[in-house]
Amino acid sequence: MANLLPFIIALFALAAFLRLDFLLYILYVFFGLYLLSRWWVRRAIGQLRFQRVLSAERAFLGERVPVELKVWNPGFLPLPWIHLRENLPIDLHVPTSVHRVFSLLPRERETMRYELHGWRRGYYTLGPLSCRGGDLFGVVEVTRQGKMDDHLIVYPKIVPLPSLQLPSLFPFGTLPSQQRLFEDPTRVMGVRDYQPGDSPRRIDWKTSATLGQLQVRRYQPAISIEAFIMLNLNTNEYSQRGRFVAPELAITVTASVASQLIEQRQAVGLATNGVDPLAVSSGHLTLRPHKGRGHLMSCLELLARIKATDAAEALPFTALLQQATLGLSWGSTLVVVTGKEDEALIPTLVHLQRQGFLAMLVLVDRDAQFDRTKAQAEQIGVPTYRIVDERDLDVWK
Amino acid sequence: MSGNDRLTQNPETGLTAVGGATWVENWFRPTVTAAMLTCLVVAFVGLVSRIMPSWHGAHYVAFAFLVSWAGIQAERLLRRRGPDYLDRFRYRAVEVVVILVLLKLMGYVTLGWDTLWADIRRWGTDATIFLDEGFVMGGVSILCLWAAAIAITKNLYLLEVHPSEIPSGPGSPNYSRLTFAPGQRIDRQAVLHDIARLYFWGGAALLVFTGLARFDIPILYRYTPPPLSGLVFNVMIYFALGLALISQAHFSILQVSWRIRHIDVSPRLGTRWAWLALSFVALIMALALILPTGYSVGLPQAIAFMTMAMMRVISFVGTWLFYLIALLLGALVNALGSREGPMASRRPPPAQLPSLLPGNQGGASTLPLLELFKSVLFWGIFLAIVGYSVYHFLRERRGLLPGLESGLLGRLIAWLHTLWQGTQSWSTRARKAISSRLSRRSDPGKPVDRWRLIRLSQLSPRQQVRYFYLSLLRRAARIGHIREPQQTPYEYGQALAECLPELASEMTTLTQAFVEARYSQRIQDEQEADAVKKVWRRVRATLTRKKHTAQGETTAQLRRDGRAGA
Repeated sequence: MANLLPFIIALFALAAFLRLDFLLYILYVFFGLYLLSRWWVRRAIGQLRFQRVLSAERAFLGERVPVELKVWNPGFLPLPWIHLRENLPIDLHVPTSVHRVFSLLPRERETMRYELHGWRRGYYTLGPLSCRGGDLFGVVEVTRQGKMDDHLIVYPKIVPLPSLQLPSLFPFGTLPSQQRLFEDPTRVMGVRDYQPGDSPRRIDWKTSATLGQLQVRRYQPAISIEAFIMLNLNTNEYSQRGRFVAPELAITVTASVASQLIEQRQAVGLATNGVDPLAVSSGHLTLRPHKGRGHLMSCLELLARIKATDAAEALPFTALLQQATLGLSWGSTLVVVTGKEDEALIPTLVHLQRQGFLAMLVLVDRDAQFDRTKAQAEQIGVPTYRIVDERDLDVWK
Repeated sequence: MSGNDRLTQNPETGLTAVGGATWVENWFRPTVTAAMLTCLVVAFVGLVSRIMPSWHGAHYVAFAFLVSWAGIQAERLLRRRGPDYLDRFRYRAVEVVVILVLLKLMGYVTLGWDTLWADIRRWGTDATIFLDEGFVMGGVSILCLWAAAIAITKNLYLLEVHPSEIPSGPGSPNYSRLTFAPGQRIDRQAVLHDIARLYFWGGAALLVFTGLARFDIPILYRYTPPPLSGLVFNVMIYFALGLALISQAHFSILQVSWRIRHIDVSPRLGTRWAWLALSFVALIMALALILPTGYSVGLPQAIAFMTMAMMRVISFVGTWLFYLIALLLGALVNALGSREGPMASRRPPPAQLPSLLPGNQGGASTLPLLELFKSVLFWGIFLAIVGYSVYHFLRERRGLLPGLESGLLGRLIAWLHTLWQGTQSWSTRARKAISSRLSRRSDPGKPVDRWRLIRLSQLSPRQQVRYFYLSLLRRAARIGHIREPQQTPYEYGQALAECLPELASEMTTLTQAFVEARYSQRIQDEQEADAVKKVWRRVRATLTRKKHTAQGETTAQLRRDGRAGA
């Protein structure tokens, strides 16, 4: 039916020559059909409105997110058929497209429903939505791209680490400590009898008055940890074998440590040399240390979006360690998460310790020479862990 | 729910219909096909009736419909039984015999049963009595029709979705056979072309029959029957039903492509498609029926008439505009000249305004206006079709005519294209401006244009209170009490109350109401807004009075200064 035009012209010539009125009626029918179909479909499809409604714009790993794709025909022209095709990332939906065919009467709405599955952490753009429609006779088919930029963030995997122990130099804090040296005067445990040499500041005068003899307060030993996690996502510094798996594991470790510390009401910061697709400027990405669940969400969102990079201009990890620690307060604990040892890594850690930071090293690459690195790190007082599998996180469970 | 779940099995054909629309395949398509073919019979019967007035073929029309319909259903039944060719042949042979017997018996409905009984006794001796010319003509035409119905049904069957074509998942046992075996797919576009060819050939035959019936071919005989006149409805219905059938064929092709790709299809699509196709064709036919099919004046006269009409409209509008301007100027001159007296009484005689309707002078305008309009419309459609065809002809052959783009014609086309794009862009901008203005008017949440009149009734109570306060600021500024940027509403209210102590309580009320309207989440009702409105009116009256007083003082001061200067 798409090649109606020659037939119409022939019919018109015949009708004009013979001056037969019924031929002209037929001509009008065919020409009207040809013209009206083209106009109708283009206009009706051009007027369509789309709306994608996600039940949540953020999801945890393994979570399902129902999505509704609403199409509304606000005009007065019905659409005989529409083929909606929603393209989706393979990490969220298999197969990678969702289709539906339907018709739309004037002012009618239709909803296409599907479910996204957060199989892998990431920052995903949904769509593009493609809408194809046509007339009833095959005269014309029109394709329109729905410009909708909806995104879904799938957070990285978080492993609970209740036994995570980080070194700290801050004596006053909220975390109970085994080191009796650090006692927090705001956390009173009880009282005891006064002994010579006790500071008069520790005398609890009310209790002493009640008991009739001097009593001094006992404080709970406590520390505060201001941790700063340094994440290496420069895959050039990972082994060839581990450059796909190990960075993901490093992100899981980072997310788990951050989550655990925030749960313990500690301040956590994050710096990485990965690539954030939403970042306006290039360079390393830094989140300054803060407390609270909102900050944890910020960290997780960054960790969801971040991508490992193998670009030649990617920032070396040792350079990141030096740049990102410039504004950090004295005594902060650095959690260094990287793939494998580097010649400059241990000297950099030494340098940072001299600046007043504490450090903890986590190696996630299977090909890392762990024993040698651990020996070197422990010489300078840096606890070192080898996490090449999620089961290795059991050391902190 | 997957696409497969929405597909329902047609119990009669064993095929799968999208969206549960089995009635479309079982009833709608056979009926449309049979009715379309019956329209052919109507034309044929009309032609034969004109040649042989003694032949009564009216009952053939209903019989043709039934035969076509039965033939279609029989073909569907045979398809369901499977490819047993002997069984198929026997079935068809029996069907032909029954059709012919019924056809013969139908001829005696008008002649009477006595004639039938008498003829039966003579059939054995004279075969020509059985095979008379009416029976042969009717039989041939009915059997041709029956064969055409079967051919269309076969093609429609080929267009439907066959289970063997649907690829299954990689885990299914026949996956490799269906995926890699050659010849599993049917060329449905070719089948659609076959249906369209049958349709257009049928249409050509119909036009020939109808055309011959309308011309004076019977003049060759000894009598001259009256010519047919008016619309030929069966022709229109044939083409309309044919379009509906082609629409169904197109739907079948789309169905197959969706089905093969496991696309989820709405269950309502099949039914809606049928109804939309019928409605669309009916709409097109209705439009076609109101369009003119003849012309009273030729193309040059029509163009001349259109030009004259446009000139007349322009002249009419221009004259009226000029008249209105002259009227205003006259009123102005009269108002100024009334001080001098005698000029006021000298008024020009009333102007003779032109009429939009053309007079009865000369040429084409002597025809009735409706006829002229019909002729212009006819030639307009003619030029539109020709122009559209030429445009598409040139557009599709742009690459074949390389010299065209660089020549004068090419530049003309480019200029016309630019002109068209400019017009489109202008119209788009105008449309957007109008729609944005309308939407702004309908959306009370958007900021109100400063120079536009505000309808308080259209504002929400919160907006009304804000408006009262802003109005107060504006009016107070006119008499010199301008609110400084650093002043809070309370500070400004206090400052104004010190300057205008009579408004102290009103200012407190207005300021408090404004702060609540601006910063609180509390819902304000109409009564509160009305109470603030009363206060605002008092403030407005006071401020207006102050303004007039200030103006009067200024004028007096200026006069005093002027006298002192003199």
